[in-house]
Amino acid sequence: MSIISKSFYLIAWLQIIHSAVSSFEFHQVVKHIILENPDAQTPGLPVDIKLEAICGLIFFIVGKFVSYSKITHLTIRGEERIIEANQYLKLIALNKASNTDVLTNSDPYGEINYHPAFVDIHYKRKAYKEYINRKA
Amino acid sequence: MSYRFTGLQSADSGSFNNSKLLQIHDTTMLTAGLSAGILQLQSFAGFGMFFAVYTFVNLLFISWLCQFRPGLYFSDPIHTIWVKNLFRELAGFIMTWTLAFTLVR
Repeated sequence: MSIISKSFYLIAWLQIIHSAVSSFEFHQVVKHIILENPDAQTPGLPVDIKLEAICGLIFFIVGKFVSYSKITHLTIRGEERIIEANQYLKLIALNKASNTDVLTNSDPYGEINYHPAFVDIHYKRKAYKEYINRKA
Repeated sequence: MSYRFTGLQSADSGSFNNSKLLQIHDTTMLTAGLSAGILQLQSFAGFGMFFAVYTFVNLLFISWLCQFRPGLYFSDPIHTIWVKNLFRELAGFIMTWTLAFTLVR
C-alpha cells in the first residue's frame, strides 16, 4: 500500500468520524429543542455534515483503488529480474496466464512433474554416483 | 469442427481477480453504509445510495483495474462484477447503515 493511499484513508476516516460526531451532536441539540418546544420545526442535517460524509466516502473509494499497484513478477530460476506487467489483474485465458509462468521460469505443475513416480530414478542414481566419484 | 481444448481459462487467475473484486466491494460498501447512516437516510434514499455507490465502484473498477477490458480478466464479466456480489454487499451495507443510523441518532 503506497503512502498516497494511506493518506487518502487517513483523510477519509477523519472526515467520516468527524461527520459522525457532528451528526450525533446535531441530533442531541434537536432533541433538546423538541423537548422544550414540541411544536418546533426540526431542521434537517446541515449541508457541511452531509458534504463531509460524502467526501469521506469518495476519498475512501479512491484510496482503495490507489492502493492497488500493477502486477510484478520475480523470476524464480535463471537470471534474477523483476518483470512488470501493464495490468492490475491476471489474464483469465489459460494460454495468456501461463505466459507469466514461462517468463518467471515457474512450473505450476511441479508437484506432479517432479513426483517420484514420474522421475527416472535410475538415471538420477547414476548421475549422483558419477558426481560422488568425481568428487572423490 | 470444434476443438475441445479451446477457450481454456486459468482457475488461478480467476480466483485472484475475484478476490480483488470482492475486497473492493466489501470495504467500499461497508463504508458507504456508514456514510448512509451518518446522513440519516431512510427507506428508498438509503437503497438509492447503495445502488449509486455500487454502480460508481463498478464503473471505477472496470475503467481503472480492468482498463475497459473486463472480458480479459473475467469469464463472465457482467455477472461477476454486477450480480454475483450484489446481495452480499447489500447485506453488509444495510448492517453498517443501520448501525451508524442508530449510533448517531
